[in-house]
Amino acid sequence: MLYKDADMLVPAEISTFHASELASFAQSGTWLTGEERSAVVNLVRQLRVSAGSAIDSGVPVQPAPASVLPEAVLALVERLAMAPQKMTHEVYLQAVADGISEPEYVEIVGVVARSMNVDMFSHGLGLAPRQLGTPSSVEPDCERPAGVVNEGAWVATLPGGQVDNAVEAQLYRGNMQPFIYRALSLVPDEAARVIAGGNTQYLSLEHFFDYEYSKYPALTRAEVELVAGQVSAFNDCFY
Amino acid sequence: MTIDLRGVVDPSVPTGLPNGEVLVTFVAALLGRDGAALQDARVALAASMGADAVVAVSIIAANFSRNDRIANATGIPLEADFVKLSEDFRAALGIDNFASARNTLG
Repeated sequence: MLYKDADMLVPAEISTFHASELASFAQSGTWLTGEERSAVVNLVRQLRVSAGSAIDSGVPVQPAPASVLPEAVLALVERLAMAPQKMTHEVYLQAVADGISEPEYVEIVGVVARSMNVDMFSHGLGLAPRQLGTPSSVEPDCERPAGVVNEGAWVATLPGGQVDNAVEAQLYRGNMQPFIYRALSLVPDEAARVIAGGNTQYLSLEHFFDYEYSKYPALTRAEVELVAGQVSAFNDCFY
Repeated sequence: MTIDLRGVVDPSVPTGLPNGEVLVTFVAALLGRDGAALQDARVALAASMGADAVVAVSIIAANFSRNDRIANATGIPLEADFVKLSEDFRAALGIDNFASARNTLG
């Protein structure tokens, strides 16, 4: 059990989902190796511990992220993890100018954001971040999905409703998906995990407009939205 | 029940929700850098609403910490329907002044 050291009961669905997320960071992705993805997560953890935002697990980090990741990636990860309010289009353009490709950028955003999700939950319960698995050095396939276009974001995304697009069909399953669930679709595996996370941790979309619905007996929907809104205000997230 | 939305963007303003203060205090501490304050807030939240509330709030806060980073980092614009629905309170709450507002409002 992932959270066996917690003195509170963690729903099995959450433990299972978080375990899957943690495993994904050590696996090779579409554009980054498992070693690179693990280095991204370890860098985020180091930054958060240094800032007092996370408990130090005491497990030495080897190899050091700075020995695995280029300078541009280190800078991007630090900005996104510690100052998401300051993520601007100019930051994205600079990252690309500094050598991070568009899909690499998307995958890095996914790994940073998802790892902070899991680690912030641990922190809420007073726990250190969970251990990562042994990182994979398997080379990623670097496959860009067909059908991605400019839908108005800084990065290309996969619109819904495409005919004969197997990736779109598997990702969206015939449902209209809000932009937050399409944001990382240039790397379908990342988008799939974001969608799964939303369904598991927040609510599934068919309940979105049911203002009495909450996944959690301990919280009313209004309380859920208060928490969500407060977090988003802190992060200066207009969306 | 009358809810003051200002309490969502300003933790010092009471929201009007019965458990608003203890929730806001915990979330602020979770987002902050003071482990002792977080521990105090966790104990207070558990005492008021039960341990399951601590778990649930941590899940929600973590989920939206993820979503916010994705949205801010990819420049996704808010869907037009929601822009319309939120017109009457966004400016009042200062949301239109967020840097990320440019991604929608231009």
